[in-house]
Amino acid sequence: MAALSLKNGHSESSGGETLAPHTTQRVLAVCMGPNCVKKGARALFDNLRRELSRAHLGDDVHLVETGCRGLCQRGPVIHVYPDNITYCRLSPNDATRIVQGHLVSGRPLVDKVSHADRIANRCCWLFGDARFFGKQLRLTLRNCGVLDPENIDEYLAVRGYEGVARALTDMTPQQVIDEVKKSGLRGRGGAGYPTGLKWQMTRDAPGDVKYVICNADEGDPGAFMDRSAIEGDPHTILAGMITGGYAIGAHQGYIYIRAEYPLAVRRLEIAIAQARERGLLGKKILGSDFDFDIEIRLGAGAFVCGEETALIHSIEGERGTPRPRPPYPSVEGLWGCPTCINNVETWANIPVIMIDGAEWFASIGTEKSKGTKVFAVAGKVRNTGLIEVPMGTTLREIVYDVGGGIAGGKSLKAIQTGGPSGGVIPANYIDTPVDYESLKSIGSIMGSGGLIVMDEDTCMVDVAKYFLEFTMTESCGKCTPCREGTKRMYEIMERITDGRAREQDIDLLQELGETVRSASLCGLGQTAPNPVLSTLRHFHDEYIAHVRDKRCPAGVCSKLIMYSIILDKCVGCGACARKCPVSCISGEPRKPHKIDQSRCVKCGECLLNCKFDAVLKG
Amino acid sequence: MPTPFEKLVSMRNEAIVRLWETKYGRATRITVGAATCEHAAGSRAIWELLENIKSGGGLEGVYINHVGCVGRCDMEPMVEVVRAREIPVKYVKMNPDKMRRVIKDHIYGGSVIEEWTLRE
Repeated sequence: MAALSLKNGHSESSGGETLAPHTTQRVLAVCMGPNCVKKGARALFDNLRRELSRAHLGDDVHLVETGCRGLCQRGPVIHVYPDNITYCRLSPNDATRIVQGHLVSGRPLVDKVSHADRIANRCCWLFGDARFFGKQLRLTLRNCGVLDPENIDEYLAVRGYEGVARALTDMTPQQVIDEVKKSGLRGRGGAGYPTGLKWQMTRDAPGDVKYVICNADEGDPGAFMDRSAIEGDPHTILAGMITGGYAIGAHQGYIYIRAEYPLAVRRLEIAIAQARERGLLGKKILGSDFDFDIEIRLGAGAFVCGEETALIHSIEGERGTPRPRPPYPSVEGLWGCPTCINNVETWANIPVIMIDGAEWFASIGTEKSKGTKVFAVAGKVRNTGLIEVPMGTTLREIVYDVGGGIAGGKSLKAIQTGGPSGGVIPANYIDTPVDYESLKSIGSIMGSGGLIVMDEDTCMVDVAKYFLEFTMTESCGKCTPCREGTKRMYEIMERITDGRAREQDIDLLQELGETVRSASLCGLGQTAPNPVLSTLRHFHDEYIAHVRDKRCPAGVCSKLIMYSIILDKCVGCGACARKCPVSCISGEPRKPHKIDQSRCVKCGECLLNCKFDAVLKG
Repeated sequence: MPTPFEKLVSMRNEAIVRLWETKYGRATRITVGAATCEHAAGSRAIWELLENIKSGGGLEGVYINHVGCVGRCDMEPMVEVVRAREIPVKYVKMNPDKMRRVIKDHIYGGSVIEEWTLRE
């Protein structure tokens, strides 16, 4: 570190310029759109210039004109960098206050700060990556990557808890429920049940004690929506739950989260402690008569505990197994009391609806699916990441615009949604809009938000086997069709990928899958066959190739791959024979070589090392 | 008696003033991504480097803070630098060595290291 003494570097390069707040250098961007000009933006600009020079700030503040910022209703508008404050409804006379108050004294004009901005999409201008962020509409993720999640002040400053305050000030619980109903919000955990209806049922259920629960038991392979949302913006979840508690008449909430998310748990603990300290949780919230508190319950990471009745058992200290419904948790839930369970993303949508209004929320999305959906995009796509797009966005836009297309110049083969409960969507359905009904109609589901992009090198049989193995091991064992059925299905899948399957195995697989689907009690068993059934539907040829021709078209199932040498192309250089770890390639120098199939271990070294394209994989 | 809404608004105004004094009023801010994914990509080493420099008396007047992830998994760890009179800059795929150069070239030297920034 001797080479770079940072303190010295500072004093040298900054040439005496101090970093004290009052001499912060800024950009003052004045909107010069026609509407703002009509309302006096030009006079405001001139006044600002005069005030700046009077305050001797001419060198420290850049005064610039910008094009229309789209806030015409609230003009004239100016934006202050790097403070990231937008002032609206200014008059030319405000120039003095802005310069003296904000720029000289360092106190922003709280009464002129624009609060009427939609709270969404605040991050876009920050990142300068229009392709990735441009098609997104970040409602629930609006603060992720923007705010310090461990500082409640930052959340409060961006209208945090305003929905709670509004509900407590001038809305009855029923009005809150009506607002949620009007928004058209549906459960984001996968099933898509209307949230407002669920709240109404819990509110109407008889009983004095009621509970709300946040289901943060995220367990799909490759899914990390809930974790990122909590780690980036924990207060939004709390605000949603407080609003929900008020609406349904609950005074206690639980967040059920797996212990393997330690950072998310810590951020939640910090957020809950800060909210209690500010009187946003606990007795008499914000001075009202409403009491509400939230506790965290840690799960041990069983996939089945994401199912609501199993989750309730787990919170009660029982073994996490599902029970038959009805009675639904909204009538008989935690400790027998009416309970409202919603997913993390569903809760995170509530503050958006409360602040920006149900009508605006309902204007986003499709006829039956309102708002946005978060996806964890993974697989063979150039930009893997966590995205949030309006409902109705097509898979093509997600893969090619937001995701940047397929990595390595390969072609798209299929998209898997919904993780182990979902199905695959073949490439020719790429223009399908993302909403609950469209995805269901092509044999997949919305799910909680896993989205895996697969290219031509992916074997669909192998993918289905992978997900089936996951649900097989995660089955709680209560129902025979799920416990035994997934096991038998997995054995057939193994036979297929090993080249030992008979043709009737495909029919048996289909039949077993349909039985498991219809005879299991909970969502885990009912959806476990989906990956197999949907690949059978869309990629039947691939199964046939494995079973009849003992061939894996994608070259993934190692027992079905055969390496051979094309005699016409082989020059007999011996490069492959020297690399072969089991010495099963033989031949005389400068004459075509041969692979002894009985000893070949299918490592692929010969293919990698041949300079004459003489090794064939297939 | 103020209504809950009035209470919240005054709470918010206090929060803005506090943030102003501690954070937004500073000429230079460094924001380090800190979610599980960012940590896995190595962001903790960058944070520790910044804290070490600060505790050694460097980076005077510079505000450093954590944020969650913004969803660009393949670009992590991400570090944002906000300097006076400049549009914020996002650096991607950072490590402590790159961070040292950003401090030297950008934060003190004033020149953005273009090839490390988030671009299309």
